Amino acid sequence: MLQTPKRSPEYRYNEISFFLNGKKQIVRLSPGISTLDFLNKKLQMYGTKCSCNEGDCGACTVVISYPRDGGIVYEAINSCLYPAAKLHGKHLITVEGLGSPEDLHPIQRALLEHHGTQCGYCTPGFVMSLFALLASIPHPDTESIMAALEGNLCRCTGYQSILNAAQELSKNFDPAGIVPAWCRKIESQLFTFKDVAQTVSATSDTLYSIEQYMKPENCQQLALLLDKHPEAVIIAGGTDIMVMVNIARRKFELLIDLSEISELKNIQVKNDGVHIGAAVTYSRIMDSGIIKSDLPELVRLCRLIASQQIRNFGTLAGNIANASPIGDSLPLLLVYDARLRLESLGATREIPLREFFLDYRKTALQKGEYIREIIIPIPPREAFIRSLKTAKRKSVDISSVASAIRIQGESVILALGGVAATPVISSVFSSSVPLMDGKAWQAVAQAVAEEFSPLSDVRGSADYRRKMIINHILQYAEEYHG
Amino acid sequence: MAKLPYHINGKLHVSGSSRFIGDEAPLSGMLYAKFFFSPVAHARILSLNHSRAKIFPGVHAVLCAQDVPGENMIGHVIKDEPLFPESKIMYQHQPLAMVLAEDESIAEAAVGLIGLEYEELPPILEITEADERGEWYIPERKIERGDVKGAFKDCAHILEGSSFSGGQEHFYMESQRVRAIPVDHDLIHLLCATQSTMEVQEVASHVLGIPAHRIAVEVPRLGGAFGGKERAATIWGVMAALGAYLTRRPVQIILSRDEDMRATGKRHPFLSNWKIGCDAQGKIRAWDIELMCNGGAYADLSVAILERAMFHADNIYHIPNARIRGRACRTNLPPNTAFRGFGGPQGIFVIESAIEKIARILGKDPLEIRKINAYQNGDIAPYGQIIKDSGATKTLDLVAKNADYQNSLSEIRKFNKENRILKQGMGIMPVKFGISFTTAFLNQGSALIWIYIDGSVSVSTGGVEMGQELNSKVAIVVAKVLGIPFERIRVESSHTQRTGNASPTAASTGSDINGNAARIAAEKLRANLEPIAAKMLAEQGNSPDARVIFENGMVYCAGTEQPKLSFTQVVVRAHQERVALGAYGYYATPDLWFDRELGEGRPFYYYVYGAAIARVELNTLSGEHRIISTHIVHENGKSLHQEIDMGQVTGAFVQGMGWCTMEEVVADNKGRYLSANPSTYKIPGIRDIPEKLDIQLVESDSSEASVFGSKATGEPPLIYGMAVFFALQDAIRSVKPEAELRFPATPEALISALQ
Repeated sequence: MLQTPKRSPEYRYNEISFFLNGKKQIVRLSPGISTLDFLNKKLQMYGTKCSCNEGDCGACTVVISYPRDGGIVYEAINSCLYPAAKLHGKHLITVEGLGSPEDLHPIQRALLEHHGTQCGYCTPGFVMSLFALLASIPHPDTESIMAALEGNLCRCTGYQSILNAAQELSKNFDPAGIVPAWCRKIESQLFTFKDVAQTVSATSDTLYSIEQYMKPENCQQLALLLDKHPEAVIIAGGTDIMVMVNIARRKFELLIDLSEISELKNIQVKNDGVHIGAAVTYSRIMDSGIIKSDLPELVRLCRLIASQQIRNFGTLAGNIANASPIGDSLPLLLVYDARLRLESLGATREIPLREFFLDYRKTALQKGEYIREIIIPIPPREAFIRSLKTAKRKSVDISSVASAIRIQGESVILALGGVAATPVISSVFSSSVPLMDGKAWQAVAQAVAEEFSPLSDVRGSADYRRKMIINHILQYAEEYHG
Repeated sequence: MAKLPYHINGKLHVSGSSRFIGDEAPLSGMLYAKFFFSPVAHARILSLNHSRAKIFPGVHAVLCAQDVPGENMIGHVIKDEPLFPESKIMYQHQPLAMVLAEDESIAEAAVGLIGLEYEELPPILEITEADERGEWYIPERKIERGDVKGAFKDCAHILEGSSFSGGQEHFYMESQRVRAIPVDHDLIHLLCATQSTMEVQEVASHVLGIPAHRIAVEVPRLGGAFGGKERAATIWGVMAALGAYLTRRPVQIILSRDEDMRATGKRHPFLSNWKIGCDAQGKIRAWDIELMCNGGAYADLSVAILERAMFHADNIYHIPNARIRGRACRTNLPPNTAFRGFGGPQGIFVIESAIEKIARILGKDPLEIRKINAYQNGDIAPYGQIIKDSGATKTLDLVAKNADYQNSLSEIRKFNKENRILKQGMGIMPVKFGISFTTAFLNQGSALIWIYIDGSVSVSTGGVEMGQELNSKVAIVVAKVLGIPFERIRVESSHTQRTGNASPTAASTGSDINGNAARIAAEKLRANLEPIAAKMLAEQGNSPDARVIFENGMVYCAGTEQPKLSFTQVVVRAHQERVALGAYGYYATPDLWFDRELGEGRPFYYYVYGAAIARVELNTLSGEHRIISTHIVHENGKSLHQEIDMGQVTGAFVQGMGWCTMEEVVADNKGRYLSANPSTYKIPGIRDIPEKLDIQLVESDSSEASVFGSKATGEPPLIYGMAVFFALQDAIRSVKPEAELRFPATPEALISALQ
């Protein structure tokens, strides 16, 4: 028997203030509404486009500007996955703000003049991705352009004209003209922003998927909230949960967003390794001098994770908590022998990551508990640490098989994703003799492939996955032996 | 050279100001539609209970088959497709009922209250099974020329094979959508994302049981279509019309990406069995092929698509003895439909696979085999059309030169000798693509032009702008005829009240048909203005017999520079002298016919020729590849706009490359699409394009070209993408000469071919 949905139910609305295209806004948001829906359906601004609603196409790309690490950043995000409540205290810049038909922004003009638009539906997204890129890097090279645009799909142009426009902007345009004066004017206000976000209860005729969206300001508040609402779902970026809301139409009573808790935003080196807070985004990891020098393979891997737009608000902790068997970062974190610090009201504990994944999408997190930080011991320089990802497309794709390896003296370890219900460490590989010649590798690879029984799905057959286990190991062998 | 105009709506696009259907303020009282989709692919409906959904607060109607006032049929040529099924479910995600509510969330909640009882039937999903059971929409089609059986007897080599090419999701960025607005009591205004205003109007009129003039269909622009909104848009357009007609309120349908990918048809997968015979040099003597396509649950355009595949089963090769048979098979998948190329790429894939095999078995250069078989002027295609301006050899020679073919071959050989894991390969893909709807009567179009008294111009055609820049090209044509700046012209939405009975904007014919219609209308207006201008110029002391020139917004007598009149001055005077400033242009492509019984005729007004060479590097361990370079030579007559054409060639190439290397339509054994969103269905991204892409547009002076000597560019270049497939196959064969590469050439297919 189907249950009749509740009528005119009560929700908790978020009242936030932020800047939109240079103007201060104070708005009431239905709980968990995405920035895209807020723009389209509430503000009736239609320049930002919905195409996939799951962060895979980039048509809805907008730029947020906010203080980070002492400066002001301009970051592209997928507005379909970005809860509008996160905008509090930030500057949201959309395609309409950047320029108008009568007064085009240089990026818009370059796309026009290079015929970088055909049907026009993806174009606003490309404009905004390019804006974030050029506001951050004055003269980006081709690789930076590709990284900035890999999250934007275009079905008409074949990209060449867009690439030409971007290269032209990089080469010949004065970077000072990229960030408009009205954006610059807001920057100081972002630093001194003091408004407080609130929530209010009200009934609604519209049925919302999320009943309450809370943003605690510190770990104490977070622990108290979790203690009171042990069923609440925690998000940092929200890049997975919002897909469930948008596509699977999942309902949530309470989402707790920990992205604004400053204690969770640190990257620090301590005696036991690099500590990465739960609210640290992939982009910050990639920008971090500490991680670049001590955990270079993590930076390299992050480049292969999702798209620039997702990396700007997705987090490593989210990847861990989501516990997907094909979570991109998980094999590498396993070979790093990462540990997690878990906290709950009045309690804290540390567990090795390898004990965290219990079963398919089941973790050792207990009710009321959250990931506070990830601790990655810094490997010695001579350790050979590499990771690989196999997918249908070179970028912005979910892997069919992911792996990571560490060879350090006599100790060898191989972790795999996509071959079992959880990310796993191969026991066969770890107990294998030091891998000195090509033949030994081949035999070990074969044995590791037989250790697992992967499934067949839309991303690859079981046979293929097994074959790729072997091929990943052989690729490591190639590189290891030079 | 004068700077070519930018995209006529480019400033709107880049600033996010262009209007797409549904991306605009809601209308007061508007209802939002959500669908109850079939959970199974094949079933008998026992009962469909929506009583609880109907009384849910905020719901205004729940509509299904019994609510249709007219015919519950949306099939067009073969009338086999219902708007809502009455008794039999034919595919997964077939819409069974539509809920109309004040809010999307309410409509969605009410859909959850609909109950369906059904008796599941085994679905047919594969071509082979459908073919064995004789599940064809129409009996086998055949084109035959020469003595195939006899010719095989004289062949030095006879090779056989079977080829499969897969489906492809259109992935237009803008999903299917429509807004229906009741106007007065007797008109429904449909803003519908369709390539085919006439069809939506016609089918809606049958379904509602009202005359066509009570339905106005308008398309401001489409956010991409690629064939996916030619027929597949009709069902949604008609449903919205039905909703608005019955509730007397505006109704909006916007499919989510997932709904769109699960419920709508795709490019037809094709399976072909073939036998080819050649002499010792590789000259083809005989070609016997049967093509079968997976048409899905209803006929849709499957028969026409099969026919185009048959017309392209020769590609650029003259084969004196050919038998081409085709069967379009019915399965329990969403009805597969038009997709850029419309069967052409699928037909060409087969003969190119055969050519590759000839080259391999004979140990010859595949370029050489292609060249010795290429059409020359005077040759006759299997369906009887005489080849007049063959560009086959010329484009092959030119692309080989541009790609430095011979040197590249030796470089690749050397590279492959020196590298164990990385392997390079090269692939060649020539194209001859027939331009015209093969259903001859569709080759007609109209245009309506108004010159307003300030000299600004409004042009309407039946053509739909979907990113191909039809509107820019139409404006170029009109600007040229009237001698006014491009910026003076506004090209309007496609609207049945301004340009009725419009053929779909499809088959690459958009600018040929609509551009010519606009040219004719503009010529009429110019003819109206010329006597007025002559009179005005005479009044200024010019000879009354001098030829009048219209140029760049000015009007003057030939041979004199002064005095000049402005175009606007002439227009104002014409209006005062009661001369018509509006004109209608009608164009029908001449000299087309095809007899389906005989398999003979002249189905194409002209052909577009071209060739591509791609060079790839494959990592045989990771299965990943990079495209080192792609060279394309594309013959496009006297282009109306080189940069637009360049954009079409580039975009089509990348789309074709996606089709045969990464885009994999995956369904489970119940007929449910598993690749139903961009996280599971990968189209090319910016990192997938060739590291070097060199495209040369070759101007040609063909007697058979279209408006101002231009040629179509929409579909033919998609086929160049297959050069990448054959390049990958070449790389694989450097390791394993006998390897067969499965379609599409995903990393999985590449790795498995190496095993």
